[in-house]
Amino acid sequence: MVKLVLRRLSGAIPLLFIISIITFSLVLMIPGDPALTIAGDSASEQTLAAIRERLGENDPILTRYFAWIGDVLWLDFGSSLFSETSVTSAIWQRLPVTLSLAVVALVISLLISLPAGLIAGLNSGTIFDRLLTIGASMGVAIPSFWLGLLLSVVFAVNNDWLPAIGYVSIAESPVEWFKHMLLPAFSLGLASSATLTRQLRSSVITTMQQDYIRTARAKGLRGRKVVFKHLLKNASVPAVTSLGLQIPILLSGTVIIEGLFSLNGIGNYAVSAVLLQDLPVVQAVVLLSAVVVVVTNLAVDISYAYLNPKTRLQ
Amino acid sequence: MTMSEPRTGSPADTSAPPLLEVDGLMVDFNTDQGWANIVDNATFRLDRGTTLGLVGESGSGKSVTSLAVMGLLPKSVGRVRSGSIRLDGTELTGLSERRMEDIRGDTMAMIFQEPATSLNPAFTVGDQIAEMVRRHRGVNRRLAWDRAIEVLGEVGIPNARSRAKAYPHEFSGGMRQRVMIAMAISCEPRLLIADEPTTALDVTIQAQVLALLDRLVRDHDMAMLLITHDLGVIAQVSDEALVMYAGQIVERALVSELYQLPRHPYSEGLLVSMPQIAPRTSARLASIPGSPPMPWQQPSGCRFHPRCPYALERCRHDEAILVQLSETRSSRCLRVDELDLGRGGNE
Ligand SMILES: Nc1ncnc2c1ncn2[C@@H]1O[C@H](COP(=O)(O)OP(=O)(O)O)[C@@H](O)[C@H]1O
Ligand code: SF4
Ligand SMILES: [Mg+2]
Repeated sequence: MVKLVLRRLSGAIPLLFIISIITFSLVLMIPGDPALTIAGDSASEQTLAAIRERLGENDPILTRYFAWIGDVLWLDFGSSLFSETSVTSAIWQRLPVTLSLAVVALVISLLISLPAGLIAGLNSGTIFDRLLTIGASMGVAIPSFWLGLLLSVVFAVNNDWLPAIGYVSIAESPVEWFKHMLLPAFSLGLASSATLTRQLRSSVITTMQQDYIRTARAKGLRGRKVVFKHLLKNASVPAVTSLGLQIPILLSGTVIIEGLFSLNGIGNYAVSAVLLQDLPVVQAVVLLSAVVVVVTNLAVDISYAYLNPKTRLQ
Repeated sequence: MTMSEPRTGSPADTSAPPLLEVDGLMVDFNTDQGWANIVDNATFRLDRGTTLGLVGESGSGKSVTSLAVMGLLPKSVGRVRSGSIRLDGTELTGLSERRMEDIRGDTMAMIFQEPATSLNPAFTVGDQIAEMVRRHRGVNRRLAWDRAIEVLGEVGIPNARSRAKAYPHEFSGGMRQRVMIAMAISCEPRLLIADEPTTALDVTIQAQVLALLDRLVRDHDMAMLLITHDLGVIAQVSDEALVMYAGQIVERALVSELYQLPRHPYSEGLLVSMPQIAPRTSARLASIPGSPPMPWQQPSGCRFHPRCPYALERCRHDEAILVQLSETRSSRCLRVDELDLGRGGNE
């Protein structure tokens, strides 16, 4: 098991290297001149040359890549083209907002999908299952921003039940933090919960028909033991794949939700950076997102090895 | 453990209450064609320490009969319509699921046809045996694990102590079936149901597994309901045989009697199609022409009449009932007294 983790980790390194090259190449792909972006259209040629020199634009591309990646390895993403503030500290400041949003959304979607998928799968064909399946289909179809708007109108505008905008840090007030997270996280997580519910339901149904479930019952095990031990460990294999796919989806969803609920997170930061062509910020966000995806896949792979001992071979 | 004497072909004292008593069992299934009767009025008894073979072609209702006894009919698809199943004096039909869970694995245990899929791939074999021991014996993990190693050794798994930590996919088919058997006997059940325990195995392994079952049943004084489509298997280990066709028991006999003189044309057909010398998996020398009916289109009269070489006009109309011929024999044939059956014209 430890060997497997190490092997997968070392396999991820070349991948991260390639991702870093692609991210860096954004320099070449984004149209426009950063120096012009910074100094404005009226700047003199000398000013522009000085800025280019400072940004290292005159160096060969490989030198620039190694300088950049060298800094990145120390978590230094340079400074924003405009504010001169360190990108790393700006991200560090906004990380709790985005992380709170994504994690609460994930927790909400698991809290909904685990029981819903399990109950629907174990009672497939009943009215209850049909209702849940219809609900899940609707959940998948509702766009998060539309749901967010609707929830804001109902819970914040028409009634005074929950705040519709802003963020309160968890250190400051856990209760306020939770209240502020509830609407955005629910809007973000509902579609995921619907997808996960459907996935879990179908894998529960398939697993229930397996011979080893009949064996477990033939042994006289209690019903809950059959479900929570013998069924769940096997049925969660496809569900974990689905969960792994949901994490990048949730992260990209934060961009829209942060905008809608005025949350000053990484998503908002990225959007403004793209609009301003603030390259160091864009590179940092792209690279971080890629790392999150790689790490998620790694976690999915490793949980396969735990859930399905056969994959531990080779 | 003392070895019981070799099988003489006589069942245990019939005055003692039997271990398993099935009476008028009717099982229905919800098929593609609606509700259909799968097991029709099955009545039989199994005495302590004896082995009863249940034989018939595929689809005759053998597995469904055994699953009904175990209370493992697939929910919402299969149901016991009527009849009684008594195990050790306890009526099982209508028992709550919780009570059935207490009995399953403890008083009765079951081995299935496919060892490859019957063990959970996600847990070690030792764990899968030990959890059952803990469930019924209420012992701690250590003792349960020791018991798992003990039974794995008993069924002939080499290096049981280390193999207990292996996963099912790390065993061969024959060894997996041994693991299933070890699991089944781990709580010393009184009744062992083996549903085609050797069908999925290589020919050479089949004989070993049968011999193992035979030995265990004697050593532990268990009763066994051995289900197979192969009369050769019954000949090796059973005292008594039930022949099943299209959901009905068509003949009941001591194995020795059945071999000497079948009293039902279907039994005769099975005997004739049984390879005498060639390995059991080789092509059938001869087989009964035609195929069994679908449960939703059972023929009128005697259900075997479309395939029976002795069928007369009345076999199409008159219902054949199971008639007791002697203390040990019954036959469901309208012409049982007229026919001179043997091993298919060999005599
Ligand atoms: N899960 C099921 N759903 C519908 N029909 C079934 C199911 N299992 C068995 N049957 C039907 O019950 C009949 C008897 O099956 P079974 O007891 O498995 O036969 P055997 O074990 O003698 O080969 C078959 O005709 C089959 O079509
Ligand atoms: S009743 Fe008739 S058809 Fe049925 S087995 Fe006897 S002879 Fe054959
Ligand atoms: Mg069967």
